[in-house]
Amino acid sequence: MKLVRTFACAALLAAAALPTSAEPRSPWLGGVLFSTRGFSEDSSHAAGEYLDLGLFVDPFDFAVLRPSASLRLIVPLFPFDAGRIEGAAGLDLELFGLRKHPLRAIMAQASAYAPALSAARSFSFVDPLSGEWVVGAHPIRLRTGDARYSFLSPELRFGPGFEPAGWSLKLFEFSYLIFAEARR
Amino acid sequence: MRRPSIIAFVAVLLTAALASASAQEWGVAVGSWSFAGGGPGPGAYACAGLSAGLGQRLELEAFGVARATPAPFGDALAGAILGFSVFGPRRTTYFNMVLDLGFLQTVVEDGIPGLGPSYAMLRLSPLVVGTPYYGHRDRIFSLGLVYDLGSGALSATWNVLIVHWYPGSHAWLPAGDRER
Repeated sequence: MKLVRTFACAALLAAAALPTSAEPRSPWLGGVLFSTRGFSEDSSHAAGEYLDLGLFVDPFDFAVLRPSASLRLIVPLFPFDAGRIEGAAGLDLELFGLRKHPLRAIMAQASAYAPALSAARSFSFVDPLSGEWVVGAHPIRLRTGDARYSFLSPELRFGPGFEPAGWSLKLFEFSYLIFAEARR
Repeated sequence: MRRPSIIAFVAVLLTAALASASAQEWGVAVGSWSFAGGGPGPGAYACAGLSAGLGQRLELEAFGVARATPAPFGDALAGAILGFSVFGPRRTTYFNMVLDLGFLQTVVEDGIPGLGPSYAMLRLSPLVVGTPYYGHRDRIFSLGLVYDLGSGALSATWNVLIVHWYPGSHAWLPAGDRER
């Protein structure tokens, strides 16, 4: 009986994750993103404002547990320091999309509340093995037809040996879908 | 220096209260903020404010700025700015430039509440996209000079993005009501 329940739950989750046939499939494949962030006192990063610039792919049109991947540059912007630019590769997992949400009044387009979890690995261009592991959450994240808007996203950082290495906070992250799948 | 700061702070609040009586539209602003070479010091700051349109080209905004990193709420400032839309009227010029004259008052310094240094600010927002008519207006890459009224030191300030929403705009009405 327990096995049947497990399979039933798995089947329901899989069905929910399939693209919805009632809506047209999204033509978007990926796009560009930018965000600003800062780091805690006990992190290895100097105080300041950092700008993320990157590319992302969002190829799956799942209703729940929608994965996407990104590659980005983390630039110490203000004060600017070109010598401390880092790279990062990451994965996001959008948990679900909720059309009727309290923040829809601030959006001109139709939107969905779509919180997400994230994991990333940052690396220095000078010493690629000295980077950090990062896990984070996007508790305030909205998705529209061609963009994703995330506000106040906290992250926990870990050193190469997974020892705690402080935290960081993204004030906002905006992602714009601009690359579409090639027409068949 | 503490007394002139208080007088200036109260004057700004009174001006804001008087201006609100003739405001054309209200807006809500949120964004990021940075200081370099002075002010409360480097870090990532968040700002939030209320703006009121005054005439064709002027807008008044009262706002707060709080440090988000490296020490959350370690420093906080309250302030007001008077913005002038350079390229045309606020409501009809979709791509604009805004020149701000502002006043900032430290209200939390190193985690301790109380009046601290005060600053005058001159800021240019070279790219302002949107209008109150469409319900949103974003300031991108604003750069400013901050003058410490106590020490006379000059420093720089920077905002990657400040988003303004105008809840009273017709853009937020249900689609069928927008033509009314």
